[in-house]
Amino acid sequence: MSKLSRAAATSQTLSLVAMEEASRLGLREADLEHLLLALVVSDQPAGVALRSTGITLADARTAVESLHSEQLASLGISTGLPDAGRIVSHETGGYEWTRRASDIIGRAAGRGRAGDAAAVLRELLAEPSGLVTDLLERLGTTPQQVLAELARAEAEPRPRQARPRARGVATGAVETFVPASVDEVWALVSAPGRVPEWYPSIASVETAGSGEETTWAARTSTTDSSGKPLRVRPDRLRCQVELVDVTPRTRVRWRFTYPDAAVRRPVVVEIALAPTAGGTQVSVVQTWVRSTGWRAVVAAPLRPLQRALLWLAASQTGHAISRAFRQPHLPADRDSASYPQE
Amino acid sequence: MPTPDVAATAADTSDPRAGLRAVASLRVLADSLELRQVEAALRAGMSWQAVADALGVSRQAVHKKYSKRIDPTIPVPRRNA
Repeated sequence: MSKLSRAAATSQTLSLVAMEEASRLGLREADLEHLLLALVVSDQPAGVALRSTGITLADARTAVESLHSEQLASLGISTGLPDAGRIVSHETGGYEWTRRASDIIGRAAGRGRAGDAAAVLRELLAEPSGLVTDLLERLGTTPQQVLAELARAEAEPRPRQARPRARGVATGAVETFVPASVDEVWALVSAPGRVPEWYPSIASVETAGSGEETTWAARTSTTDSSGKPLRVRPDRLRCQVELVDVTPRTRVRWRFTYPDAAVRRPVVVEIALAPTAGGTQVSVVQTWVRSTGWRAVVAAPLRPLQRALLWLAASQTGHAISRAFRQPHLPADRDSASYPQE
Repeated sequence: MPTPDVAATAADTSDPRAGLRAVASLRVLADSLELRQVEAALRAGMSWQAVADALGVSRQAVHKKYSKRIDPTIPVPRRNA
């Protein structure tokens, strides 16, 4: 991955999570504390380093809240910040970074910097207001200790994801950290009724079957997450969800097909789970069957763009899985038709 | 945490660094409350103009800042409603 695309991917992921964290507090501007929270759940060495010092997302959120409450109390305001609510950034808009936060991300991608989450963390630890040092102190650590852990995490060889290369298919692959146990993540990604929680183009799955089936009828979403109507081709309204392959608590592969479409090009989503410090490392590989014939010739010059879109699609799936566990309360189990556990 | 005496602490300038950072928290509180109150006002049927008047800013300013930020399920009043 080039520095440019790495910096873009890093900034995209950190922005999404930081703005989700800001949105819980009724804020639409993400600042340094939200950037720190986003780094705590990063799948990159920066996240590994922060979590190696024992920081969890829950503790870090508490530290941010108590920091603000105490500073407000020092001004004689005893109410503190309003209680955090749900993440609503995917339903609302107008999100921005504060100037100082966007400067940090910009500098991390500047000359001589790698543009990855580690570069962002280094810039954040050097910020001059004292906010980040104070938060780390509340979390029982120091910038020096985090830097030492960061050096250690960067020295660890990262297992390179073998990107499946096959003719006639296009893939997008992402890694995500999820702050929940493998069992909890497995319960989400293996249950047909819960597919809409992490695959936003599916609105609902009919799971009122015998419990033995591996194929379910589903409806495509006709509104986006903020409730605005989406234009969906009529032959794409019905979708078929198929459980192709299951290795309990390790790997699951789903196939989505549009039975009414003339050209059926299924999308396959493979989700693999592995335990890691403080949660679960989730890898998402999304595979599309490429068009053939004249369409392929027409599409060839668009390959780089297509690659970016494939990455974006896979990252949205990975992100939705992680978000489900960062909401204050998981949505109640919509149905119990989960894949039978051993 | 002891409840500090408001008059004494709010004006306390003996530790300006802590004081300035506390003011930054105050801005965060103000931003969070402003969004909540704007949403509550629109839900209660107030117009953008009425919200702007109460905040002491122009209708354009409040609309520009909040039209996308508010809960999308709030039925937003038309321009001159």
